[in-house]
Amino acid sequence: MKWFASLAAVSVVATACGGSSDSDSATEASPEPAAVQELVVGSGADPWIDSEGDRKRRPNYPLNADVCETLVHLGTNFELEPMLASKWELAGDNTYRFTLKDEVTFSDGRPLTAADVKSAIDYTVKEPSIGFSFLGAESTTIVDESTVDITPTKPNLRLVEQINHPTYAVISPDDDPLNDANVTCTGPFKVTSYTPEEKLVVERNEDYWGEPAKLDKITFRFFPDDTTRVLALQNGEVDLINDVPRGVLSNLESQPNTTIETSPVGNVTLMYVARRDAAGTPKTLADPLLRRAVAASMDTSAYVQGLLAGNAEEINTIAPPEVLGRFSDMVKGVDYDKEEAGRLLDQAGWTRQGDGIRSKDGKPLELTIVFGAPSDLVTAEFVQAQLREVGIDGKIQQLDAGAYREALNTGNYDLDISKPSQNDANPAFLLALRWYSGATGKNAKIISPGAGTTYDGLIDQTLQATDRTELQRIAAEAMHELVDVEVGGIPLSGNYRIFAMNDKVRGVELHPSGTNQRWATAFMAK
Amino acid sequence: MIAYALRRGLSLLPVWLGISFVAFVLSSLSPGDPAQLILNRQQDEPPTPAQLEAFREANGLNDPFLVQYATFVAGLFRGELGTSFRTGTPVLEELVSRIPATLQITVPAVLLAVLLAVLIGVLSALRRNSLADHGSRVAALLSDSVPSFVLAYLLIIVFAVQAGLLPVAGRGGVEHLVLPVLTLTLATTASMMRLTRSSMLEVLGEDYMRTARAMGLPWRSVVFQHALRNALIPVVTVAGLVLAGFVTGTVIVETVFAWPGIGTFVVDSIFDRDYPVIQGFVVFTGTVFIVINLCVDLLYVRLDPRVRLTTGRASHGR
Repeated sequence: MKWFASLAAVSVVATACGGSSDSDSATEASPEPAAVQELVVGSGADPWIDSEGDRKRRPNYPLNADVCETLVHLGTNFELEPMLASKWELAGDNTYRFTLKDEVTFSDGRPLTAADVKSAIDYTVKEPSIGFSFLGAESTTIVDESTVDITPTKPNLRLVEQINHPTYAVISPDDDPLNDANVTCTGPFKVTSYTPEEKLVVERNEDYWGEPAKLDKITFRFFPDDTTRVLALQNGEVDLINDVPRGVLSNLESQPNTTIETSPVGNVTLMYVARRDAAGTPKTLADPLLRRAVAASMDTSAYVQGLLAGNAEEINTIAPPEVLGRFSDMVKGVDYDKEEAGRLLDQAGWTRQGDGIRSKDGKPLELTIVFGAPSDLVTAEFVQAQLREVGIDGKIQQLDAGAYREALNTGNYDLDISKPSQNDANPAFLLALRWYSGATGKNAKIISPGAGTTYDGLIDQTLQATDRTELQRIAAEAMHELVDVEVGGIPLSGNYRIFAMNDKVRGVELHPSGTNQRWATAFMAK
Repeated sequence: MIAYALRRGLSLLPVWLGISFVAFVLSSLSPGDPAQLILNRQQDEPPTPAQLEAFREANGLNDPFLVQYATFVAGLFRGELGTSFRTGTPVLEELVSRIPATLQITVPAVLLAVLLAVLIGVLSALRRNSLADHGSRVAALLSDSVPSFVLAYLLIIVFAVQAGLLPVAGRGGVEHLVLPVLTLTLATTASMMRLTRSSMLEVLGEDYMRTARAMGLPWRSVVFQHALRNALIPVVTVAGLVLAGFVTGTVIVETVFAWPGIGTFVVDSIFDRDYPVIQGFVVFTGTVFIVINLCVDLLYVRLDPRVRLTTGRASHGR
């Protein structure tokens, strides 16, 4: 849908922009609030159109309107913070006990109870299930009015880190977001109206149990086209656009009365490496020498500083480094070294031919590159160019969503470019979800190092760790094993979220995880 | 006239059945097993052979081809177009919920385009080779050469961003209609204008026009009652096709203007291999084209005196 937009975005916005100076006024201390506290956010396409699963999560995920809350919250440093629960503790081998805060009420004034929590989690795991924490229909039990026990169906001590995901937000038992987005929750805002493919309007919950929101009203307008979204900001039709496409950033920076703000790194652009197809037949990159050669051929510095114009960070990890705490340095990454890549390919028996492409036994060295987001085409072309330099013929396949999904399921690719986000506090979240041989994800068998490997053993340990520091250490070790030893995932850049807003908008605390963004501190200045 | 309309409608039934057959066959030939596609979406883990077989049995996918087609057509007569893989909502419901938004911009756009095209086309023909004629043809050429998304962005920049007169995008009051309608209008006026002009020139050169002038009929009567009425026949055909094309998808304009119409939904469904939606949309599109063609045929009867209703059937006199 956005093929033409990405083409036109830069030139169109450049035409429309005429400004000269940036404004830093958003960073001034304590500006006076405006009389009208209404914010209009220019968001992307309506995120709740595509599936029943997404509709079940209105208005919490993928766009989080700060209407509903979870037992625990993910801080901007990827650490857990109390939210609806005041405390939690391990109450058995595989059971966590959550104690609810006394003061929490729904926006209709009703106090939050353990029964509400059970009802909400049961709703999440009911078909179509949208949970991913091994929770089942009988997982949540009421201990008393303000205490619940949650026991996953499989051993999973990462439950607390996972349950901060907005998928597990507590909604009133009478509500069914699948059929009506106007849910009653405990958050600082409440839904006023939702018009599919047009807008979601929320207003301040006057009876909020915590620090009340500063804004009276937020309108999230949906724009399927990024260029239009940017033009709407310039026109003043919206006050803020979230997750600004990097292609138009330089133009927005020169726009008068516009402020650009960034979050810490929240997602990583990386390549998943397919080792075998769905039937288990080894693919070209089953050879560890080739995997390392591919990683060594990637000039990630050129990618970040050149292609992304410095609007990202060079990174060695496949998750935001902060989630690994002080252990992130354990993951070294494979250094860019073209000569080393060539040497590895020679060692693997792939020799250069007249056209510069290597071959072995008459077979040219070809790798199929796929990606899901149309905007990742430029990354695919970068990877293709880098591979070409060391004698690998990268074949880009630009697939529609259905074909892409099929390619991932069948293993009909070699390198998959993606941007997974860290939306919960589990440092091993992505490692367990995608590369663990026992993962429920459909393509784990295609990219995983395999059952019984050191990597799998480390992931098993992450499910059992009780201490967060120890968990971070084990996760870092697993990531080191995956990135440095197995070369099963190749990080290209650490991406932060970028917001552009007019200089009246203040107090927005950008969360690195878009799904955990909160809005209660934002306000409009005079 | 009613009898004629009924006869024409019935004669189009085989065409509609043909469209439904093509839609069904296309989906049948599409790559991928529907059972795999749906179950892959519904569950985290790959479906087992038993699950796949149970799904095929429950959904009639194991039935012979003709039985499946008959079931499909019977469903169409009941207004059932299947359920979207993506949204889990009946396809008909999805399409019908989006039609009003699409009609809201396409109908005014076509009416405005016809009005402008006829006006400018007639003036160009009457002032052949004048400055106005050359100017309108150059403008038409330019309009035809600019892709609609570029035109849309240009209009937004000029009227919304720079002048601040109109909203950039979104659905709301009349002011929200202006830019999308203008984009669609400008994108189609040029071709209809050229058609009107050439058609007018052709008609003005006919013997009966010379006769009408020789008989001393007023100029206005010659142009508007005799020439224009005949010149409009091909324009009506094209306008009908343009409207049908608009109704069944103005994806670029809808996307740029964040207009929640049918186009973006269908294109997303195509990218996502949502076969029930694609299938339903083909049938829907075919139906819209048939209905609009029928309306155009009926307009012919009004416009063209040579179309005669003789011996219980319509015949074109030309």
